[in-house]
Amino acid sequence: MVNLKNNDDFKNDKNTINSENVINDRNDISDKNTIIFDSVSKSFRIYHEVIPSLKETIIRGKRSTFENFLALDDISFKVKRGETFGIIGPNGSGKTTILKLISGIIQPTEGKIAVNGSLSALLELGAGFHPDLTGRENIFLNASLLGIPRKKIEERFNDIVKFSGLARFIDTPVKNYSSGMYVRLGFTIAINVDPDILLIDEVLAVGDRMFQEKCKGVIQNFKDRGKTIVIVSHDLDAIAKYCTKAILLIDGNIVIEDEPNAVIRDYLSYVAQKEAELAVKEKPIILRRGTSDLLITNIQLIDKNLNIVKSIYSNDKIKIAAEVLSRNNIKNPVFGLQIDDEEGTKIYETNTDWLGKDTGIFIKDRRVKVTFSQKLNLNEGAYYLTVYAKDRDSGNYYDLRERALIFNVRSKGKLEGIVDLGTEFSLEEEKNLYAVKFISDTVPDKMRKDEIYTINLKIQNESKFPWQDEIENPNYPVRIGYRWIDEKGETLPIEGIRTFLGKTINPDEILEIKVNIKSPMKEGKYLLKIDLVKEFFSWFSDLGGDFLQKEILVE
Amino acid sequence: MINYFKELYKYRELLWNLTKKELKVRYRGSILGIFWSLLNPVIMTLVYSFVFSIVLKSDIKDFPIFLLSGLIPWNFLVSSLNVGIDSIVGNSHLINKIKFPREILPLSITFSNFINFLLELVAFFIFLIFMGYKFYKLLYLLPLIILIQVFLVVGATLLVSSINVYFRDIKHLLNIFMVLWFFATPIIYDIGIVPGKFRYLMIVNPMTVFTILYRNIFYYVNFPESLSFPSLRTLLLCLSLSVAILLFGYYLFNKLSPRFAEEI
Repeated sequence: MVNLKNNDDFKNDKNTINSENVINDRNDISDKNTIIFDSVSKSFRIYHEVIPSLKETIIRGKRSTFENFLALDDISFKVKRGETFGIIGPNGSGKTTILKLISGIIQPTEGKIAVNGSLSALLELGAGFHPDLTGRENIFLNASLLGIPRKKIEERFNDIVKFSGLARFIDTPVKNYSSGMYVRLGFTIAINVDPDILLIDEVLAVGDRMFQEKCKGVIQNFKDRGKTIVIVSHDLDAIAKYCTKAILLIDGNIVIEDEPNAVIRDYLSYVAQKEAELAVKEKPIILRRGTSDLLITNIQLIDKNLNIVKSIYSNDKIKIAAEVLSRNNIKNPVFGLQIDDEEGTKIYETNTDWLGKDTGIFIKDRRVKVTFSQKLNLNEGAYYLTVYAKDRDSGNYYDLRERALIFNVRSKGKLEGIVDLGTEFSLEEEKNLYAVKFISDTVPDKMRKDEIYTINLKIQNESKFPWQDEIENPNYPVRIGYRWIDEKGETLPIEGIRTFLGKTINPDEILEIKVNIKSPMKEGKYLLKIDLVKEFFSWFSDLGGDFLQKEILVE
Repeated sequence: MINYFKELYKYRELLWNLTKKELKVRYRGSILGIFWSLLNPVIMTLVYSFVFSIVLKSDIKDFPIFLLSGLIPWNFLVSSLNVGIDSIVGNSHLINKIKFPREILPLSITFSNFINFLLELVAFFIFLIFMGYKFYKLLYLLPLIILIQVFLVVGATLLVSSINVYFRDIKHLLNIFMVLWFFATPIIYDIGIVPGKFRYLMIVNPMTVFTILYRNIFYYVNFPESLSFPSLRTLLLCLSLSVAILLFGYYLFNKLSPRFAEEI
C-alpha cells in the first residue's frame, strides 16, 4: 500500500474549484459540508446534426437545430466531510453529470455548486495517457493534468511504480501495455493525488478481480482516513458496503436520499417495474424453420408460483414450458433449448438427447406439454430463448423456434462465470390443451347471401393456460375465425375475416366478442363453423377442441 | 483575474509537459528526429529557389536567405494554426474527463511550434554567420519582434481552436485563408515590387510587417541601400493588431470554454 499521507500542498487548493459558483454562506461550507448542490439544474443541447456545418448555419441563420435535454432537474444535496456518498440510478439518469459538475468539467445551467477541498476524479483511468509516451513520461504528464506538482510525483515515483506493479515496463511506451496495465497505472496516479474528495465512476467494474480488490482496499483506506468519497456504481453490493448515504437518481431527479440499503431497495423495485414494462413491449423476432412434422407452440417461462413471466430472478427455479403437436408418426424426437445473450452469444444449450432422456413414440396428432425445469443463474440482462424439436439421427429440425422469447434476468447478488444450468426435463400428455366453450351466440338461423353479419359470441377458456392474442404475443397467437361448409361437406373458399381477441383470456375467464361473418355467395343450406384459429399451423378446433357449429339457411 | 493567473501558473508544468510531449511524439521513432523540422524549410527553399532563380530568372540576390527570412516566421504561424485548430476537438477524452485550464491545450501547440521556430532560427543564423553575416543593430530588437509575433500566433490559435468546437467548417476555411494570407504576405516576393496603393493595404496584415522586419535583420543588412523601415505608425498598427487578436482570442476562448465538454 502506498503511503497516502496528507500533504499540505493540496490544502492550499481549497476553494479554487468552481470559485465562480461558491456559495457565500461560510457557515454552510464549514468543515461539515464538502459538497453542496443547491437547486442545480443542467440541460444539454441535443443537436440534430452531428457535425454543424457553416453552410447550413448561414442558410438557416442559426446553428444547427437542437433541443434541450434536462439531465438534472433542480436537485439539492449535501455531502458531509468524511461521508461516502453513493449515487445509483438507471443509465442516463444523470449520475455522471453530477460527477462532472462536482469536478468542474461542466458548469450548471442553474443553481449553485460548492466544493470544498481538492479533488481527484476516477472518471476514466488513464484518460490522459499518450500511447507513444512511456509509462514514466505518462505518469508525469498525467499528474500535471491532475494538477500535481512534479516535485510531489518525484517524491512518490517509486511508490507509484511499486503499487502499479509495472516496474519492468515503466520505460515502455504505454501503447504496448495491456488494457489491464493501462488501468492499473491510471488508478495508481489518481489515488496518489491524495485528494480530499475522491470521485469514483464505475471503476470498480474494470480490471481483474485482484485489481478490483486493490481498488476496494484503497477506497476503504480513504474512508478510514476520513476522506470524502462520491461513488457512482451499478455494483449495489459495493454501494451497500461502503456508502454511508446514497441517493437514487431517476430522470434527473433525486427520488430518495437515505441510508444505502433503503435506496437500493427502492432502486430494485423501480428496475423490476421498468423491466416488466419493457418485457411486454419488446417483441421477439420470429425465426422459425423445420419440417413441421412436430410443432412447438406456446413457449412460456413459468415461475415457482405458476405465473407466466417475462422477467426472472437469477436464483429462482423456473420452468420453460412448451406445447408440442405431432403431425406425423415420429420416433424419439429430441427436444432442446438454447439461451443466447443480447449480442447473440450462445450462453447455454441442452436437449433431451444430451440429458439421456427418451421421449418415446409420437403417433400422429399426439399433444404433449414439455417442460424444462431449471435455475437460470445468469447475469443481469436480456436473453433470448430458442426451443427446438429435431430428429435424433439426422439432426433435421422438425420445428426450430429461434429466439422465440426474450426475457430479462434480474439478480439479487453478483454472478460470474459460466455455469451448468442443471436442466431437468419432463413431458406430460395434455388432453385439455385448447379447450374452449362457447357459452352463447347470436348466430341467426337464416342469412341473406353475400352480406356481412355481426355476431356476439361469449367464449370461455377451459384450459389450464392463458390464451393470448396474436398481437399481444406472436408465440401463442389466437384469433377467432370461421368456415362455411356446404351440403356436399366441402369447405367454401371464402376468406374468413378473422377477429382478434383483443386481450388475453386467462383460464376459466369468459370473453364477450363481436365477430363479423360474411355469408356465402349462393343460396342453400350451409354449416357455419366458428372456432379459434392458431395462425401458425392449423385450425384450432381440429385439434379436438370444441367449436361452434350451426346449420344456416342462406337465401 | 488574479485567481485565473494563479490557476494558470499552477498548471505551468502541464503546459511544459504537453509541449514536451508534442515535440517528443512528433519526432519519436524517426531516425533524423528534430532535424526533420529543419529539413522542411530547407527543402521548401530549394524548390522555391529553383523556381524563382532558375525558371523565372528572378534577380533577387541570395534568394535562399531572402526566402527563409520570411518563410521561417510564416511556418511558425501556419503550423501553430494547422495543428492548434484541432487541439480542443482532438483532445475530447481529456476535456471530458479532467478539469484543467483548457487554454493549456492550444498553448502547448503554440509553444512546441515556438520551440521549433527558435531552433530553425538558430540553424538559420548559424548558416548566416557561415555566409558572413554583418551584425546589425536591429538584431537586438529581434526578441521583441518575436514576442509580438507570439501574441499574434497565440491569439489566432486560441481563436480557431475554440471556434472549431462549434463550427467544424472553420478547418476548411482556414486552409483557403492561409493560402490567401501566404500570398498577401511578401514572403516569396519583395514588397518593393507591389504598387503603392496595394502596399497600404498590405500593411494592415501584421505578417507583412513581421516579414519586413525579419527580412531587414537577416537579408537587407547585406544590402544597406535596400533597407526600408516601416513607419512608426505601421509598427504601432502591427503591435496593436497583434495584441487585439491575442485579447480577442483569449476573450472568445474563455467565453466558449465552459461548454467545451458538452459540445465536443
